[in-house]
Amino acid sequence: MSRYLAGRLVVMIPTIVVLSLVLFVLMRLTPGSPLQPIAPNANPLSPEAQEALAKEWGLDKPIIEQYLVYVWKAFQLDFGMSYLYKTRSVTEILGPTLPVSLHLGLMALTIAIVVGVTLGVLAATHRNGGFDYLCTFIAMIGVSVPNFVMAIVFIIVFVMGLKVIPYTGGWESPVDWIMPTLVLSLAPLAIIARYTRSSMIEAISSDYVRTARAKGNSERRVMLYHVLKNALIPPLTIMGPLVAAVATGSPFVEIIFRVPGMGRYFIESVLARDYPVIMAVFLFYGVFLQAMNLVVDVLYGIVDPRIRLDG
Amino acid sequence: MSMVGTSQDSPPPAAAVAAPALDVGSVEGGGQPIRRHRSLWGDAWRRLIRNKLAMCGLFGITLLLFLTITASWIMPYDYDYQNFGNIAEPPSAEFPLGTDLVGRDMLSRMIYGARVSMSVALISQVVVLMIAIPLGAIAGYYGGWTDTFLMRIVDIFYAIPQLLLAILIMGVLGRGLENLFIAIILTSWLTLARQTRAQMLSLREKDFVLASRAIGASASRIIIRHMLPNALTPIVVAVTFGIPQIIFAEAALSFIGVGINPPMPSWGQMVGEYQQYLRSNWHLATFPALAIAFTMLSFTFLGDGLRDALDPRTRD
Repeated sequence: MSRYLAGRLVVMIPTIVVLSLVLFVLMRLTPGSPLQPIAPNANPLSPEAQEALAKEWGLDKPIIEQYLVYVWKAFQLDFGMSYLYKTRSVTEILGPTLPVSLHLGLMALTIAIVVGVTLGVLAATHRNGGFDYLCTFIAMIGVSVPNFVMAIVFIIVFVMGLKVIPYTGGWESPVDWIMPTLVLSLAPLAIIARYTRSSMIEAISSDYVRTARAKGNSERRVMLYHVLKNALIPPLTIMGPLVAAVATGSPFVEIIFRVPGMGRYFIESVLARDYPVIMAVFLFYGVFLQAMNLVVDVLYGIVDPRIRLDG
Repeated sequence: MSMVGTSQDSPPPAAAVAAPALDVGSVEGGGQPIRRHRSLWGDAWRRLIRNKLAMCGLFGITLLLFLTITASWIMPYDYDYQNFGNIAEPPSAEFPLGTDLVGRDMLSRMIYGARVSMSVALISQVVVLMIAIPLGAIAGYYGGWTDTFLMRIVDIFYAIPQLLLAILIMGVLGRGLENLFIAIILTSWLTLARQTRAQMLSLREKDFVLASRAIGASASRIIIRHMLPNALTPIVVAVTFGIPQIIFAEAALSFIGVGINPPMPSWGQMVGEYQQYLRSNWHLATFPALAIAFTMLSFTFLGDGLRDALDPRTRD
């Protein structure tokens, strides 16, 4: 196992280094200077003022040196000052938004796993029945309809039409959590339900399940101890990218429901070309995604003894 | 539609039909030897038209293509004509989908939005095909450093969500139609290249490839005449699922405000701009949102149907 982990890290680290290097160079090469004010009709800064600013931000040094300094500081969670809010550091800006996004994402993920697995199991055990059609329907909608479209439909139906949920926005009270969580959970729910269903169907038709039935086990026991135990392993493989994508929230859901999460600040920083914030968000996503994939691979090896990670 | 249509009109190269069609024929026609010869694509087409959902999808796509082509003639108003007397009106006989905050007819903007979405998706997908297929085929066939290099690039691209990358590219380049193509093409060729490579890797070991190599066929001939036609089925399916992905990407980028350049209408941009006015003007964001859902579902229905029709084994 440790050899496997070491092998994975050997691939992971260069990937992240190259990613950060490419982003870093890309952002330095792009047109538009952070040394000029972004407000329309603002007076341009004098060359002396620009020089002073460049010196303060370290933009006068060679690019390789800038990169190495950046990486060294990034390890200490210092991503520099925001170009947009000139008096606030990136860590100060993103720090409070990350827990909000994680909170929203984890709630959505919990719903997606609980409902998705249940739906997938019910669909497989009642093939071509009501649950199966419901599962297929939700899977189709959830996979193909973007979440910002879902958000509009949900607001029209539940808030304006049925009036079961009050008008909300923000992230203060649990009432505010309902809609964004529901909307965000739909896509992963659909994926999980689809995977669980097909993996359950495969398990149900396997020989060891027939043997378990032949031995006279009750249907309930066969399902719980023989089918479920094996059928839930394959859906685990998709959890890595899914956790990384969902747990970090969604810019779209955060914008529509006015959730003060990381995604919203990311969009704001892209629109304003606030490179330090953009870099930090990308690095975070990159590391988080790689880490989640690794965690899931290791989990996979623990849950399924047939898989030997040492190879 | 277009994929199936073209394959029907011009049958794929001989090698493509020969191997799989024989296979299908011998299995299906086992009991009835006098049965008329059926091609792989003919069989797939027959399975497809029996699939009701896929036909709904095909109908939806046909409708969208019709709107795309005829947009300029069937729009009741110009998409940027402002009726100053009719600001933010709900749907009425004069304006079936209402007007927006500056008095532009929503129906006209929706119709032109279909043209924007569909042309971005179709043109990008064609370019993606032209980049991804040769790259994937060469990497898969030759292996070695070309393959390693390509796969490392893919790994790096995959280390971050593709949509975020597209957002970043648009943020750097600035919004507009040309940049939208660049951002979308740069972020969508990877998946198809990887799939093509995987297909090539498995086909490379097949006997018929060995046979063509043994009789001295050149590498380009083996790839184009023998391997690619056999990899066509998964590629067709990937393309059908790739188009809605691009439509989604365009809508998402425009939603955020880094996509098309207003006043050109885009459904995503309309949803993004008008979602804050849902309470006072419900019609502004709702119709574009439904249009996006309709388009995405149409392509998904057809894609699912095509996958089942082209490879019946994948159906559970």
